[in-house]
Amino acid sequence: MSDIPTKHDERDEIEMLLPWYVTGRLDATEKRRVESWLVRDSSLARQLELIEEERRGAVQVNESLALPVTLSIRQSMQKIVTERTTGRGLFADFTSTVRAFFETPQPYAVRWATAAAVALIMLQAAWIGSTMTTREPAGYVTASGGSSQPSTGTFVLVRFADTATAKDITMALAALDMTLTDGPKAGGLFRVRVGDVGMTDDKRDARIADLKRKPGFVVLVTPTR
Amino acid sequence: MDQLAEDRALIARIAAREQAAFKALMIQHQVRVFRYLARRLRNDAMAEDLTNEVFTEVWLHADKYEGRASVSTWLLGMAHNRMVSKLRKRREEPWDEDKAGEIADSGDDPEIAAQKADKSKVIRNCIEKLSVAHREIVDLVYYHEMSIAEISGQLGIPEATVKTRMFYARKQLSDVLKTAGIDRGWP
Repeated sequence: MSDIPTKHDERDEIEMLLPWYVTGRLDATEKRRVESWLVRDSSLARQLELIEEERRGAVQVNESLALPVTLSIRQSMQKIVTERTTGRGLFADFTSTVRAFFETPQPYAVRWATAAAVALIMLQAAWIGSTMTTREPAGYVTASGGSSQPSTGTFVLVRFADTATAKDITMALAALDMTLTDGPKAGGLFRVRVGDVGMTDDKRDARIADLKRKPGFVVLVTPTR
Repeated sequence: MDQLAEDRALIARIAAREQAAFKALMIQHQVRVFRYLARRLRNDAMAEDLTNEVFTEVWLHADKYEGRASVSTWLLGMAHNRMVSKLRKRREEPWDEDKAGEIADSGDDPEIAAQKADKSKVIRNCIEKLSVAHREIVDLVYYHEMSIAEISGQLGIPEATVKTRMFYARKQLSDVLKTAGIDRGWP
């Protein structure tokens, strides 16, 4: 095969490291080594532009793939359910929750779309509400809030990334069993219920980590009362 | 908490049968696992099946995660192993990575000529024309953003080979682009 390792001089070695330099996956020593070459070899610097071009192309090719994501989640969950019915009692608690979630009469996509629409309306209402608060300093309640919102639980304040759409927010929060209860507040913060009242700090922190884990989703998450 | 520690904590929660943690894992990683498989298999249905198998395995055997690699590397490793195993079983194609690495897709694509004005589109098309092994390493480096050591572990090849394979993948891309009318002046 043509890519059998061969001896190369140092410049060649540096050239080979450039793709990882661009993706930020070199360790500090290698990074310094590459940078010392970049300042004295303009042909290597020119390579960075080509690599950026290649990288954009590779990302676009991957992101153009159709994603049966919701179907996959459903099938994975169902497969776990099947494991339980074949005699592995390990999954009793989990599967009952999964059944409740998936075995409803509506098609799966419709349920997601409905959830997305509800949250979009909620966010819009919250936005309108926030503009009204400038005229009503006495207080602010979301149009969809009030008594229907959970008043007890463990809450966090979240600022979502600018790129996160209402649909993204709805789907992610629904999948994580979290509820948007209030907002936007000052600084674009939303109050999100992450679990039942009395959650331990460790569990709350784990839920915060779940929110942060989704790339490009949240900018800030902080505990609140 | 660093990423590896967070990953360990997440998998520990899954091992403790915490549904929210499992969902969080799926939300974060499922798309990339599916894309990794779909790009290599060129078969969305099979990629989807294998993606489900990977996450089922996570649910069943989360306690086996040792935390030596990131979760994403661990998942892609499982995906890779399942894919190779599946292809061997099905005997649809002999899975010879060395041989596959040398064979680029051939044939002129009439669309390419018409797309010269759109350079990024041409680049995307040319990436698709790379050999299987070259396409794979380009994806692992640029899309999955894996380090040299991680790719070495994933593909079971020495780190030096990872670097040279990527170099030759880029070279092959330049050659294909030249054929498509774009001379990048490199190599």
